[in-house]
Amino acid sequence: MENFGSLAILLAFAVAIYAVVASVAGRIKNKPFLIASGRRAVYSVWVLMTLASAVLLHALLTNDFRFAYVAEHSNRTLPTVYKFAAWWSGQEGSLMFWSWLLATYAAVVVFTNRRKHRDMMPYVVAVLSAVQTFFLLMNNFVANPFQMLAVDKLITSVPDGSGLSPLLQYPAMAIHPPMLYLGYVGFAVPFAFAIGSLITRQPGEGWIHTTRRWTLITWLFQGTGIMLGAAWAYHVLGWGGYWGWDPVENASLLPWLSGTAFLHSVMMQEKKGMMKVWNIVLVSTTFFLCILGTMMTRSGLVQSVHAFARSDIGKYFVSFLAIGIAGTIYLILDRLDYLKSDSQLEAVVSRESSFLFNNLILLASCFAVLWGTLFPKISEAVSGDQISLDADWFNRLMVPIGLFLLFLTGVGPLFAWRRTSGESLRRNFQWPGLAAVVLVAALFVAGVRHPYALISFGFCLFVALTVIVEFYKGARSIAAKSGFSLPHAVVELTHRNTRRYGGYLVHMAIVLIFIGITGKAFNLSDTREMAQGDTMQIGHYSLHMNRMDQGENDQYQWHKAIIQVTKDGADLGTLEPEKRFYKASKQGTSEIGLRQRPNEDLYLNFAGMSDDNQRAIIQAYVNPLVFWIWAGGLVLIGGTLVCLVPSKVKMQYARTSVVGVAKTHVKA
Amino acid sequence: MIIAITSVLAIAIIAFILTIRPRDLPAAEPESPFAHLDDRKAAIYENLRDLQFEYRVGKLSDTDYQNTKKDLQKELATVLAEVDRLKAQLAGKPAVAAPAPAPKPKAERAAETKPIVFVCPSCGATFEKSLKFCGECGKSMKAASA
Amino acid sequence: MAGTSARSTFMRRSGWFAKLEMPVLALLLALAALAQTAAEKPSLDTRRVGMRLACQCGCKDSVATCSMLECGFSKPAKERIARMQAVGMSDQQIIDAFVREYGPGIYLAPPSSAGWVVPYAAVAAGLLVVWWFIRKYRRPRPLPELGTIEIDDPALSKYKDQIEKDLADLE
Repeated sequence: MENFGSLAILLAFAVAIYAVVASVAGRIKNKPFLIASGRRAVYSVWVLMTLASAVLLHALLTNDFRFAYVAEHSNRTLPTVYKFAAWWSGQEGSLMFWSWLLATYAAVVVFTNRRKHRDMMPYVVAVLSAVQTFFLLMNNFVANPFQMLAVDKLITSVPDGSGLSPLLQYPAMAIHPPMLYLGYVGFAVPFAFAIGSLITRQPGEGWIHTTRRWTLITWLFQGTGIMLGAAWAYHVLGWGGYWGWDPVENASLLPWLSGTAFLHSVMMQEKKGMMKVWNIVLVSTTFFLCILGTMMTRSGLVQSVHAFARSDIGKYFVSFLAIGIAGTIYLILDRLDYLKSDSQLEAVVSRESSFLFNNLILLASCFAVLWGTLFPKISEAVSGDQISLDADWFNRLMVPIGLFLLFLTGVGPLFAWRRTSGESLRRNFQWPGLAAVVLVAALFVAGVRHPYALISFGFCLFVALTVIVEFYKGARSIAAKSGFSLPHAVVELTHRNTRRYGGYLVHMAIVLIFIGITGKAFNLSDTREMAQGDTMQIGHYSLHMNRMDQGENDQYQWHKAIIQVTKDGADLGTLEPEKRFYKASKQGTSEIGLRQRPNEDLYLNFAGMSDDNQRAIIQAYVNPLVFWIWAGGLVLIGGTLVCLVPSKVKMQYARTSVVGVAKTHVKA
Repeated sequence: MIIAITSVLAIAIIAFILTIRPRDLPAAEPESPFAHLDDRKAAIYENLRDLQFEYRVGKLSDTDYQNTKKDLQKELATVLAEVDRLKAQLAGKPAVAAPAPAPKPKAERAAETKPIVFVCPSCGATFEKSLKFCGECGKSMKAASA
Repeated sequence: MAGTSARSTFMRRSGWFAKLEMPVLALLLALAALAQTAAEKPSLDTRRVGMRLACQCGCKDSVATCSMLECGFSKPAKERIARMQAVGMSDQQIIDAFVREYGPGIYLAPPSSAGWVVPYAAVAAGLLVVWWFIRKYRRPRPLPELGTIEIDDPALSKYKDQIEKDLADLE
């Protein structure tokens, strides 16, 4: 079996190289057969990678501990679903998962576009296959998942594996990596189309139309992955927070930020044919940040909680990045004339300018996160000292940037395309702005003094109102014309322009997420050693230790504290934070006790036993408004899905027909 | 056994990639030399539609609406002229500004059930509130009625 | 002597560290709760000192951020810091004690000013680019190839009527 797997990935490597060569040669020499064979090579890579993955999965599911990978990342008592998840939980497996996803994407892209874009498709195939070749190189020669355990040249087996890291044995964590990977890998597609279009100098914005959905879906996966990662950190790591600016978290945030900038700035190109260079730069940046993110996760370049084993794969990634970036820059510089803007700015105060600022801020935040993440390496190179920047640094830098971004979220859609006069601005700003000021004043009177929290709540209300007014005005107009009821008109309005109104929903999701993050300014926390019968107070809550419990099963030993919670005298039942110690991996984890409500979470963590082993160390947190982060995450997914629904009123125009030319092209 | 399976797989893959019969080549969709211009035209119509909608819901001032609309119409005319130029060029004729076939939006028009409040004297469109310029045809509503 | 020189370097750095960072840190207590990785959560005071000490377990992290549970170095070190704080030693005294024991290599410098300057410089550079972009594209240019087209041009008035008619059908 293992030989079969090894051979499959080796063959895939050769076939991927062939796909690059055949496509490019076929395009240059104008040989349709060669191009078609390049396409088939893409399908073949997918078949081979699927077979190889099946071999690895089979080994994982049947506890074949002759495989080094299986022995390291699984054990007999591991629940089946996590045996499956072990596919992407280790270095070698996750790189193969990457390869397989890319092969899948490439096969889908090639199949759906097999009759379209005759000019640029061979290059799209070539770019995708080149990336595929790189990852197959890793799979074959650097991090081979089919490495066997051997003693004296004889393949041997170990009785039981060392198990999956218990931190990863959590439902959100089982699907978090695939989500992120679907995002990371997916940005390769718009990148490939951008490069293909650049090489062949396609007129118009064809690549943007073709990849619009890809980009959105990919962005959605990435966003969902980030949210799941935050949920995992909150529910599993037991430190009462959801985002620690850990390098691996940052790595997933980077392409999402630049991808968000891209989603906005393509509108400039679609509407006005502007920012062509910039969009190519953005989509390339996003793709390379995805590769960088994969590298950070995989190579242990920067220290992190969940970086995998340190290895030398970093240098391969660096070489790939260097070649890719250099090639892209050369292409862009060489074809600047083709990327000339079609139109100009009519006025400084306009939607166009607001997009410029949106891009500036998104990229600045992206850069700040990248800088902070790589700072230990940079400072080591410059001064010899590894200086790591902690969460405080990130928060102090990112909070103002984030607030400004929130502000732009509200302001941007209020500007009209091309020009916005003071009169238009007054109409749109007056009421939401006034309401925000009133809210801030009211909060201040009510005793809220935290400056960032005040600003944030003010902006949140402002943005929310602008979005609501936008829906209301549009729906009212439709209702007036068609006699629909207002809710029906809202649906009708959204259906008529799903991208715009789905986008507004996403803006609303951002507001909810910001509300949740702002709650952090009012967090309470306390740590106590508690024996049976002890009581502690936190905020309005009173925590009474009823009893402690312990036990053991196949997988782990556990200690549990059963804590009675009362709030202002009212009984709220018990919370049972638990501490586990996994036998196979010899690691401890926390199962927190959580009472989640829209206004605040009560979060209890069993941190361990006191030195005399008599009392439990209980960490208690009151985290206001965290609920809204997860709510915002759901709205974000919903809004993006709305964007993906085709608009109802899709105006179709008769295409220009040509008389007297060999082919007529009439397409309704 | 494994050796046999792997060899068969390798041969099958290579055969699949290399043996392409002429009928396996997918017939390419016709690509119009006007595709990018048609796209551009569609985008401008889309922009105009948005503009009218935003004006009607009251997001835009009258001057903004008028100016932007003029700009968009100018752009549209440029694109139409470019289509004609390209067409003439493809037909091997000297470039003359022949009229292009008119684009035909097939958007359905919603039935007007709203009680009529304000009527445009130029095109007959109806609005629920008073506008300086007609949201449909863009002509001044006041001037004509005065 | 090596000890004293290391100590004086530290004094200088910790001077601005103490002046600048402490009040802000205190203000942002809640935010500082982030970045905690291990299940055992030391107090914020212990963490603050731990951040300035390199963990010696081979992880290249700081004592405060070492992610290893039951780490042979960071766990006792955290406890020791907590004990020293309990008897009223200042951050600087604790760090000095560690430096005396393990040599100057254990000291982790706080973020240098470059950490702050560069991101803001990037924002400023970005603003310049935006300004340049607006200036460049603000300048009205004649439309390519055809020159400016007046909508009143008789050849285009035909388009104009068509456009008007189409627009009347839009909704």
